[in-house]
Amino acid sequence: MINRLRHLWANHRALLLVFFGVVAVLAFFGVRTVGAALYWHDPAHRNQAIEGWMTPRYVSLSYHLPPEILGPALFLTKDNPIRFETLQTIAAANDVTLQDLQTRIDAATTAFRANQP
Amino acid sequence: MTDLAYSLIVAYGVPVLFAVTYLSCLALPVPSSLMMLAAGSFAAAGDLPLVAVVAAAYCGAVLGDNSGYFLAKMGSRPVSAWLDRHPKRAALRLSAENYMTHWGGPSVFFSCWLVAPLGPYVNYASGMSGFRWIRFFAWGALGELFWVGIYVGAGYTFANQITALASLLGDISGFLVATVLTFVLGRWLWQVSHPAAKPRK
Repeated sequence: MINRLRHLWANHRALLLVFFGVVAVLAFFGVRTVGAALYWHDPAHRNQAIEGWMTPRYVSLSYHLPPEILGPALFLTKDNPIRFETLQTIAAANDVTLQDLQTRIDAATTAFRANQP
Repeated sequence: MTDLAYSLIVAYGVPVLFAVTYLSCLALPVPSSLMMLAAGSFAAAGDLPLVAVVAAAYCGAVLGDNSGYFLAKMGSRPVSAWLDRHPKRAALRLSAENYMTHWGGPSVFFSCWLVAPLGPYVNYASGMSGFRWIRFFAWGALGELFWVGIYVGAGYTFANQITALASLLGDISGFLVATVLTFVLGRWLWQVSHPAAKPRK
């Protein structure tokens, strides 16, 4: 083994270094995969806070809120119904921040759950 | 980046999915897997029709693979001439052709989905080495079913956890690619380091 390494170091140094680099990358992703799997496995990480790219229907699915409950929290009415648009767009159109939307959604969620039998 | 990728889908819908899977099969750095995940979860939420999502991603991927194959095939003559001018390069070309004859099909298949970051290069190598098109097409079309199915399916099934899912799948993919590279390079180094191997002059 040592002889082989010596031989490679003498004759194929660049590729040997690339090989060690690849092994390091392998270890890096191995550790990250385990970390991500543990994170994924933890139920505490399953309630995503809202983000700019999310859509009303996505939030409705994610928060288990019927659209008619979620709609008013996102300034959506009969004349301005739920569409395929991002929360960022909705926030901008209503001159509020995403944080404001989060507060409104949380309030709607609490009110809805309180009325559930 | 993630934000932008997801917002693009909301802004332009299914056609953007076709475009990214097409481009990513040509080795362009676009976040195709992230966008397939997101499109899958938008389909689960009822924002996009699932059939259209799958069809767009799949057609983009298969067309992208074949575009890469034919681009490489068109460019193969000058490249082959360049390789053949030097005995060492000619030997490399020959061993690549031998490899593709024996392992071309499974390589195309697995590089479509299991080690997807290597996919575009296998497409180029296939076109360059004269691998038969009908075999390339069939193995590739089968492989892309897995690629699109896994990412769109995962986005659809775990719609409310796609942020965590995206990083998990990204890490798994990096791990698998590094495993393949470690194995291929390690095997080659092991062979050339054999005590009987000729030292390089």
